[in-house]
Amino acid sequence: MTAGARAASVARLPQTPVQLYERLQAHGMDEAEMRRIRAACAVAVRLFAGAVQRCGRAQVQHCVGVAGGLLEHGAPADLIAAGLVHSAYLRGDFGAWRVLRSQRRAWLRAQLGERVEELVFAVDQLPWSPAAVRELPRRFETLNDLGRAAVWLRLCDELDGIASGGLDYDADAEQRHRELDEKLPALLELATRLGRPALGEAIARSAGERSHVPPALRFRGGWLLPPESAALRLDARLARGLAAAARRWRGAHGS
Amino acid sequence: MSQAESAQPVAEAAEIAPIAQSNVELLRQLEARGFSVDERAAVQRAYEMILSVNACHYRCSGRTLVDHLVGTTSVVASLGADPEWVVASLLHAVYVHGDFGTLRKRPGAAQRARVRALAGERAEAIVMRYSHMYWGRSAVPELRRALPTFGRLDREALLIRLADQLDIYGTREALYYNSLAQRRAFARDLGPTVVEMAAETGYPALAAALERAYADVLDSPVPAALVEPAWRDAYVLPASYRTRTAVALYRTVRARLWAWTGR
Repeated sequence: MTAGARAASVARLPQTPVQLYERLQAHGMDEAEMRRIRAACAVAVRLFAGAVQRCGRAQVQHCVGVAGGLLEHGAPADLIAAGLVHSAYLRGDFGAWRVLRSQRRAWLRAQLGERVEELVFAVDQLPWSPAAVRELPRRFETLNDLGRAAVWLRLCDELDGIASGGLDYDADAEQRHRELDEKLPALLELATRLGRPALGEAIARSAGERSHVPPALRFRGGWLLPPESAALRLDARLARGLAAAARRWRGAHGS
Repeated sequence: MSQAESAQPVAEAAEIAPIAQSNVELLRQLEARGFSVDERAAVQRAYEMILSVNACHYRCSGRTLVDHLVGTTSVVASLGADPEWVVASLLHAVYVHGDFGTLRKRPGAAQRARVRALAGERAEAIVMRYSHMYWGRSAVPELRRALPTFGRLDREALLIRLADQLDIYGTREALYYNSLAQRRAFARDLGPTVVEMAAETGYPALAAALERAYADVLDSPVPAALVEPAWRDAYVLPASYRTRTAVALYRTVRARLWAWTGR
């Protein structure tokens, strides 16, 4: 694919909340649903402040891309809202003392409601390594509604990663491309099994448009970039120290 | 004034390209415009710098400031800008909004040296001129009057400002601002002057795009669900972080002094 064609294909998925808002209106979403999605945008900003992806895009941009993919491929408003905070339990900063899973779940439930939190938790619990993805079509029939919604969201997560060009600009692009090649047939099959063939086609098309980006152009920054006038809170440092000590203790005692 | 000093357009696109909204989209746009790997790498380094000083700065639309800087740069690239000008566009708000970890917000010698080392003399000079180019209801007519006297760097700084306007209005971000009424008033009262400035600097495609963008923001309705409750521009710190004590103390004292002196 030429550079011109790639440039022309920009913004197939929204990358900013503004672009998402525009598409919500274009899809004729009702006011109550739009209000919930905007609230999810605000929660995403709080959870992922200063967080960037391995390609240099803000984490919030990726989340908006996932939500946009879900919108394009017919997902209901709850799932779109979940798309905006889908990596909350993996990457979200819930503060110094909200360290237990139960605390974090309760906080997110209070912010966005039970259904959205359940969806986010289901995404977090769905194994998604290349090996797990290859295995997933075989056990697709055993997945309940939440599990299938989590697969739908994960497919849009993959779609944004590929279609945005983020994979190409990742510092470890070769490894990411290899992983995608390993799981691509399973991704396409999962889209078909979900009854979303257009989503599978979009993933296949975007995967075919991948390009080699010279290492000099790949992003080399860190994943969290707080302002230079900020410092880790003392209680957060203490909480992290305790958590690390607990992990070491568990490792040493084999539990 | 020589051609080199006048900053006449080299190869403005007939139409302004779709405005890039991420670093990846911007780098692809620059590749399509024929930027070499080294030139794009310089842009990527500038992007890494704005992330380090602006990553937590969100606008009241929910968009990050970094998105806006990228969008502005994308417009400037459509004007046929050279790599230094493109880098300056990406860094254009670094002295206005950048957080260098210092007590004072105004750029000191150390910050300017850091930007100069990264971007080069010319790009830094454009950024500095941009920082001093006040943009408000009273300033826009004055800028237009002064335009014939502008040298190259001033014109490039002004064109960054016009590109900044196109990013705000052309992406329809203005519709989701808490200050939409003010934005619409600006588009109605001063939009024509801004459009004329774009045309007078020799960029008709930019002028046409600005005219369309201002008209669009004046005409378009916005659902209340997407603007209420109103958000504010803000630094959003990660929840596990705090402002360093010295900086917080300085800001508090300064705010009290300003309140006391009535500023």
